[in-house]
Amino acid sequence: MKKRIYILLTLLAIYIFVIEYIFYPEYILRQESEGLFLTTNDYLQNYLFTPGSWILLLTNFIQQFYHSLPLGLFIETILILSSTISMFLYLQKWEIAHHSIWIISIPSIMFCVYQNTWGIPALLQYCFTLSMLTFYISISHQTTRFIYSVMLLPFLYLLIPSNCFILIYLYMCIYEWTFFKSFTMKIISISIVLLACLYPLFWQNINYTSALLYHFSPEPDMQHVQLYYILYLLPVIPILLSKWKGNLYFSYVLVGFLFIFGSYSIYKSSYCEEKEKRFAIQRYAEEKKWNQILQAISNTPYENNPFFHPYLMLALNEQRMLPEKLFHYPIFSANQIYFPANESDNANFNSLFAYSIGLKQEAIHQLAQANAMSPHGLSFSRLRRMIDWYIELKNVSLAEKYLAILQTSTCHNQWIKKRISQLSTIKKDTTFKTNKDFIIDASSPLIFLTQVIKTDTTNRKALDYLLCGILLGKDLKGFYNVFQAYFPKNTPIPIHYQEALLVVDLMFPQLKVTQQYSISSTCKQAFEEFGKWMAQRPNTNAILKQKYGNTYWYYGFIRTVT
Amino acid sequence: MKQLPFYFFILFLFVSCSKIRKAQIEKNDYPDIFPDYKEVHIPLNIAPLNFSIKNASFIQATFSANKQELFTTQGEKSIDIPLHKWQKLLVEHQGEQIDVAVSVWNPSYPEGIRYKPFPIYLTTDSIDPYIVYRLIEPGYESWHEMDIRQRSLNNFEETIIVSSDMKEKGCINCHSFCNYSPSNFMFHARTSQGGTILIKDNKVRKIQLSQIGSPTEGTYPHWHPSGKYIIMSTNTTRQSFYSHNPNLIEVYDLKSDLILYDIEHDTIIVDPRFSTPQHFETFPSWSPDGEKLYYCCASAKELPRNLKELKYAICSVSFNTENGTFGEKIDTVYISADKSASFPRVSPDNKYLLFTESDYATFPIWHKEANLKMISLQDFNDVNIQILNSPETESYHSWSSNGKWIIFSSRRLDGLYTRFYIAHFNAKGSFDKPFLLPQKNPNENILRMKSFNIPEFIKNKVTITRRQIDQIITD
Repeated sequence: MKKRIYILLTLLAIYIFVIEYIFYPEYILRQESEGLFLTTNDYLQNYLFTPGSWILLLTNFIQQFYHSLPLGLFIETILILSSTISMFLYLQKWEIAHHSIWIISIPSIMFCVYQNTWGIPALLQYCFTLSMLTFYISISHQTTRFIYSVMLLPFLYLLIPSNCFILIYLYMCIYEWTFFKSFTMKIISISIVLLACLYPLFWQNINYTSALLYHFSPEPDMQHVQLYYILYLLPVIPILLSKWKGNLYFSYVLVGFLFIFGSYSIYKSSYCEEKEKRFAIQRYAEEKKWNQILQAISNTPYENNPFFHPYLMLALNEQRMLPEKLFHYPIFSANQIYFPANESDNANFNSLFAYSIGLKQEAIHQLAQANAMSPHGLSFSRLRRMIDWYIELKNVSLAEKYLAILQTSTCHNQWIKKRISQLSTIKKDTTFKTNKDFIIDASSPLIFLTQVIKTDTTNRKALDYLLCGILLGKDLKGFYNVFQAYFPKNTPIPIHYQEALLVVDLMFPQLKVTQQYSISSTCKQAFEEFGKWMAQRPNTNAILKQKYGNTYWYYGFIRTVT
Repeated sequence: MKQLPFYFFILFLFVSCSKIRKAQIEKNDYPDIFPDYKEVHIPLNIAPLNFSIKNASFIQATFSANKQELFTTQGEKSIDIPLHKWQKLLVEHQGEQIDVAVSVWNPSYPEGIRYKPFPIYLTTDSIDPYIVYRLIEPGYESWHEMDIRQRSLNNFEETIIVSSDMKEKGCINCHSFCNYSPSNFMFHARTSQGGTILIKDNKVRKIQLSQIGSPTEGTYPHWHPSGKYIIMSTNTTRQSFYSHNPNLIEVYDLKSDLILYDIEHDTIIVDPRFSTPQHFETFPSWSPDGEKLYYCCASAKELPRNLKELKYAICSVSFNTENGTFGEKIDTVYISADKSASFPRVSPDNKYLLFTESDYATFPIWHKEANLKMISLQDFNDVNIQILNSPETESYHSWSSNGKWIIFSSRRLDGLYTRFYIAHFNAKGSFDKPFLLPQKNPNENILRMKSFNIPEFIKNKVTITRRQIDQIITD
């Protein structure tokens, strides 16, 4: 029997590791980047006396170690496997483990399938619950059981959400009636359940918190909560199956079926796939891996997903390819240059955008917005970025402050040492170039970018964003005005600008555009041919798409939003 | 075996009585302590002035008075002065100077360095035992969590009066107390279910000012010392962000007027002179006797375009407490061609007007050049209070009930996070060097991720419970 369990556990461990590695690597890395664990008073005060918060605090502590993928995979595998081990230890107490081993694999498979919606707090809560119930059943002495159950009250109320806390006491009561069958404890256990139900009210009198008195899920905004709590019915199964002899081979088949079911569910889950893609793109943008963004999105269905368009444009612009390749992608509006800052991830992107066009102060503003809208009010990745940006801005005081805060975490020693040595070489910079300053009007990307260009005419990245944004709006006159005013003289003109200038020349011949700007003969010839094919539409639609689908001409004259 | 208890006793003594160390090197300079408590004047009931020294591995501080050593305390990174010893010192040596001799052991001085003892001056003036303030992330339009808290100045106890996050109750702000009373105060809760929360004689109620005659909900309040009225400004506030200006943010009012809330009759009184579109009136504040209202006033400008032309002066008008009416004559108490004034606050003895001055506009916390300024109400001359100011922002301030202390907001530590400084107003009519609000762990001033905001002294602890307040807000 033991051998079979070890084999099953080993197989499960391999299965979980492989699933995590193939399907959830970005999720793993995001645990650390979006997590936060500090030992400052500010931070700990939010958790130490708030009901159900200890599990979140423990989660935050564990998430720190997800900074490297191998370590994160290892820890995640161990945690998920713990749910199986906890279930096995529990079933052993009921002596049905030998023919019901398929039951112990259910939690692990479910946590793998719902990885994106049930995080570490849900997993830890489940393991704790099973462990406590297992320990309870192992106490044969009824007085000890009574003391154990009463002493656990304050600890459990702070550890886990109140509905799970009450559920544990309900189970203890059921055990007294079905497992121990002690008359005294049957009555006492009912009283303890009632005490557990009333305990939150009592706690509020000692340490009032405006958080929900009775709350239900181990983590904020958790999805499929009902399905998660169905897992909590598994401990009832032994009570029902105690007289069932079962069939060992049937159990093996069920385990195999669960493996296949889990893998198939994850593989087919477009939700999981898209989430992973989003996490990946966000991480690449933060790490400035522009090529990888382009590789991950280009020629995939994600090209058509508006969520990725700002990232696409940012990556293209950072590679100085925005005016060369913008119209290779289905982007239709300048409003996709950045996001409305109504969510943490959106504001996070906007901070990267602002940084890319040289507005570091605005980048930090957007970062603060992202923090304010995030669950912890801050995250490791944003804290690191703030420190680096303040070092770039030579704001020694604030860089030192945030370094001191980060120092209270567990895994940043080397990172902090490097920054401290950087800081020691910096002299505080309080100079301020008034001629570059303006009050930001972010009501539209084009207005914002125009402000940037007017105060800094050499800001090429902002200029390319602005010109491309105007082209997206098909405002050719506007394009020409900005191009004429700000595009640096004697600089090679990118292809999309050449394409647009030819159209300007066609529509406004009095401007004599082709005489002022050097447009390649290849481009001129292609435009002529385009004109000829256009004249024969709709018969030539396919050819037009094939030959000119990536040009401004196709976008300007033919392409519509689908 | 019989000797075991004896050995335990010796071990206990060894552990509990730390050995006094002697530094090998002497230096004739003051130590670089944080916070800087050197040569400060402190009240006779203030919490211990715990401090730290950068890069120290061991610190020893010996407290003396009249050349007599009183006690020694030690720590690794910081000094944590025992509360009972500190309180005894304050009581027994009030009005005297105490000297603090600090020795430090660190990698540069492994054998220890002893610095020149620095003085701390114990005044005979007490300070109000509590302050109330808001804690909030330092600026920008969104925030994660904010609290209004009270803190004992005698020790380090801090408790939450009301707490909010964005989804829950919305912004809670602008707390104001009636005559330093903890059982009579108010604040605004800005959520959809919120309103102006009024606590009178420890009974809570919620008022919707717009439903009892106010054109809009109130903003900056000040409670009349009689307890009968609350003056408020009504502000239409906007916020803009600079691309490069180190001031980061500009907050301005497109419109601001004054309204008077009559608590007894639950009505709003509007004097049309204080609600014209040609002028902005804001930051109202009563004189201690309640006979005069002071407020900031500026000619309306097109904003944000003409922001730098916006200069607020300080005006005053008499007030009749019996019938709630303002006098006919409005006096200009302070005006400047190139500066703008905010937060006028009259000293409890009615002799001085303390306010904040910045280059232009209102909301000086976002102006690095903002400083405290004071004029005499007898001759309207400037009083030199440069000792209070720094190259960074100094802004909101309050007088203690006995007029001997002020507490004010300053961003001098890092330019962004507001912290509180306390300064003594001495018998000569000037201020002594300000000191940072003491914390149990001095590094709390660095590690705390929120700004302190709107400090107000109160004479005792607020006893109304969070539950009572929350129930009314969400009702």
